[in-house]
Amino acid sequence: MDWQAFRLSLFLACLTAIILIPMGVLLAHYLVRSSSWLKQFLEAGLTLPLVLPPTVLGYYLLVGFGNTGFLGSWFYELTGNSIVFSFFGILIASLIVNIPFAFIPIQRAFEAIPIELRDAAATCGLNPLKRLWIIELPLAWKGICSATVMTIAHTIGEFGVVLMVGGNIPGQTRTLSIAIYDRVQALDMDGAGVMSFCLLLFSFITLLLSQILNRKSVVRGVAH
Amino acid sequence: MGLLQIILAHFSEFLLIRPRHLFLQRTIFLVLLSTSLSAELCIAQVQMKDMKQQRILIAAASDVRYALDLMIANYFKETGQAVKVSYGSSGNFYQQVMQGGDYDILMMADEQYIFRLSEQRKTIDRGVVYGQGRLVLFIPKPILEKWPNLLSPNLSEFGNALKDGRIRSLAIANPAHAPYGVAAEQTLKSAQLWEIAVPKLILGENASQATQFAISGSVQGGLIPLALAKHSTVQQKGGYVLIPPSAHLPLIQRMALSSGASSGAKEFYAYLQTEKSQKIFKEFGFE
Repeated sequence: MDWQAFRLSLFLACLTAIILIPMGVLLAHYLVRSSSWLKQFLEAGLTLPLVLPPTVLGYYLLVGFGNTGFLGSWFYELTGNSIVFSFFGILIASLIVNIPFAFIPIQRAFEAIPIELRDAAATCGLNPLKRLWIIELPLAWKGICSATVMTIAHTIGEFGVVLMVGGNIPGQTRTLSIAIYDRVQALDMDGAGVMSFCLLLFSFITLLLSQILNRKSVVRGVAH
Repeated sequence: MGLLQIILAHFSEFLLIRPRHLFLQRTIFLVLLSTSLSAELCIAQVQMKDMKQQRILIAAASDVRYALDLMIANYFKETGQAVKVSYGSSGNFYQQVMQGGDYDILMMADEQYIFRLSEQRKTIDRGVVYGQGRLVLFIPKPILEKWPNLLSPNLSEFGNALKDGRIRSLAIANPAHAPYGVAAEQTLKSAQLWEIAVPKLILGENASQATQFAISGSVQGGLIPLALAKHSTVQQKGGYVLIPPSAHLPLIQRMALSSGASSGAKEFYAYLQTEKSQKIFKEFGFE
């Protein structure tokens, strides 16, 4: 068991969720109420990473963030570090890949809140921010939880982009799923087997957890 | 994982709060979350800086895997200094370094890659040769038991087996970016077997993956590095025969320090050139 890779995977997953979930909440909250023609474009764009092959994303990240790329060269001059083949690089990659996982469940949850409820809150004198905070967030909590769980689980399972953009650097970009690939190539099937089983167990437990969480909130009547 | 604990603790609190304290408590929650996150990030950054001063990170062609792992273990025993390695194909690492990949030592299975990197000033000099790689024809045990004469250095019987379909698939490294794949292609071409072999080739991402395919039991043969064929796991799975060096261009293995190498990396680079290390290279088939 490669504990370093395990810690790295966990850290990456938590960081991704912490950055993405608040953004997902704000974006979904805005998009649900908006009726502008931009909405369709934005929604399609936010869902895109779901169907996009990881290699396509990896290619664009390498081109854009590599030291010869526009953003990459700018970052290199600023900090002396390159984005690709570093932890920062796989963080950016995993943020992009996980946008749909963080966005869609939250959007669905906001959509389920009846419009009358929001209007009633507004007539009570609550400003939009307070409305979000006191009324809508507790109602959408179920969706936010499942978005968090899905984002974390998906980050830990991510392989293609991480290999392409991160290389396979121990302690920096060798996540658990890459470590399994590396162990198989080293003909160390036992090592790969242990880690694969851990990931299998982890994925199953997270999904189970998210189901239990969802059911609980229904029973308590938090969701409508 | 201090951060995780804090998140979990407040997460559960978040769900159970009584309504009249909602706003206040959630604000506190957010403030705590953001401070703990920034603290965690600061710590991570400091750790990364520490790592950079004494870290030794090697990008190594996958054929030196077992030899290098042994030397790293020896080095750790002698000095207590840990060395990290990423194994892959030389062409891939060349691409990575050109894109900004930050390694201390580069070990390539084809010296041309080192020369090209040194022209781009990615390495401090043109490096040193640590051996010459040899290619072997590997045949898995069940096949070998049926037709033991498949293993001949001139590939004549192997060629027949390719033609009559006894060998349905053959694992080699990807010639597009793996030096051992290039050597395998040249070998098959010089034996006039390339045309027949093409539809049967299974391409590994690097020599190490080609080896893994070859011993998987699903393919009937492979052209793999001698240095990997000498590993006990591979030897248990079948037999191999050396391909004569004249069948392909020489696989001259060269290593170099990258231009930003740490002082620790320089010491390990010197260690790799000691007699003791050279002996290990020889034991694994680097001449």
